[in-house]
Amino acid sequence: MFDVVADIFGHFIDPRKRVYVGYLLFSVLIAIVWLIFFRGKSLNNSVKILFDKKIWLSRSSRADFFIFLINRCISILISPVLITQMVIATAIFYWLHGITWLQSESLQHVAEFIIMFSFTTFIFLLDDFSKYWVHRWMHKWPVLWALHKVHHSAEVLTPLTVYRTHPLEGIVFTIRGTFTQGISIASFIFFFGNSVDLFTVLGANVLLFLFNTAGSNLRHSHIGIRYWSWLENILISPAQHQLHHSVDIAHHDKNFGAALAIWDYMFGSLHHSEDVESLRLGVEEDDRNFNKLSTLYFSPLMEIFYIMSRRANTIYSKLRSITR
Amino acid sequence: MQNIGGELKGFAMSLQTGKYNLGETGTKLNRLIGMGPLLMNASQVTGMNSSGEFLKDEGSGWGEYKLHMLKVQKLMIDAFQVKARNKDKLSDMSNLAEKLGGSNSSEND
Ligand SMILES: [Zn+2]
Ligand SMILES: [Zn+2]
Repeated sequence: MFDVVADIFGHFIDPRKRVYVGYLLFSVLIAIVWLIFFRGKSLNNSVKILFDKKIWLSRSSRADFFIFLINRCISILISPVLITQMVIATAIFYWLHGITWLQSESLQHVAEFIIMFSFTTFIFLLDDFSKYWVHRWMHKWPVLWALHKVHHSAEVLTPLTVYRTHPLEGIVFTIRGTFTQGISIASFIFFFGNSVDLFTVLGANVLLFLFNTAGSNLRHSHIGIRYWSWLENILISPAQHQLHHSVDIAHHDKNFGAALAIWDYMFGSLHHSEDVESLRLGVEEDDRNFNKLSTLYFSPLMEIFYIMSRRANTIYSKLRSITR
Repeated sequence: MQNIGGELKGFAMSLQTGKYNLGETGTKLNRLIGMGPLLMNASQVTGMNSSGEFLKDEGSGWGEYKLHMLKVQKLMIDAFQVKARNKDKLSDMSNLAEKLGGSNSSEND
């Protein structure tokens, strides 16, 4: 029993997860400093704003909490079934050895520091880049949007909203992670041999650690911290992600990035932050009650079934008109 | 490499003439190892003629040979539960994978 509870809440004490207590504490500190020095609030008021009951006890954030619990249980149950990054890594590793003009361990004499630096940076960049594209597809393809809508149905944002995810979308994310890790591990061990290693702080990739201590949890919060315009071309500010959650059509399909804004900049989906206090968050297009758990879990499945059967119908009638 | 490969052939032969029947694992080992190591000029001993001279032939190339060696490594680990794995690439990879902390990420942006 204790094991199950530890498994479910383990993310809060794992520095490789965004909701690690240390990162949450840093986010609180950053928010309070920002409210005092940039919004001219008193300390007392800042704390009141930050822990606003209307936000934390709202229907939306209560739903977040239950989704977190349910998804953790599902993930513990299905994780042994999903393929691991080692399967992908081994396959790619063998495949690289089969390419005759590639010399394995041809770079093994490079200084260890450089190898570690390259690996740490490469895996962070590949991870962030693939997150950008998967997120973009989540918005573009109707079947995936039916799933991702669960995340966007949040009407208020708290750090737990990061877990407001349909389980099927979670599987897509896991496959993405499996491939990025498999590719990085296999190619680096192939070319650099066994001195490949990761620079870590508290066991987490140092770059991920920096991103998280810099207040990554505030992107899912009502604290609309904005960066300088030039910095918002490089890093996604909390306000930029909050804008991604806005119902306003002008804000649709903007700021898909996770840590870095450079992908949005490069592929034309960047939107600089605005004063987000007036933003309305959520999905406007339908009137389902997305704070009901049964709706959150089952209506995306029905929507996907509907999309699929409509497509099958179109194909069927096209075929009929051809054969007639 | 030549020496190691030669020793490997000897090792595989001694495994197969030992008291355990290797069955399928033995067949796979023979196929992967060949008659002997790949020589520096990328040729490999493929047999022996009637007067007892080795016949050599174009080997499979270094890339493929290394790949075969890797598969031998994996086969030995799986079939004999090899514990001492000094320069085992696959264990390097799984150490790294462990360090990265699993790919099971439900974090959504
Ligand atoms: Zn979000
Ligand atoms: Zn989104």
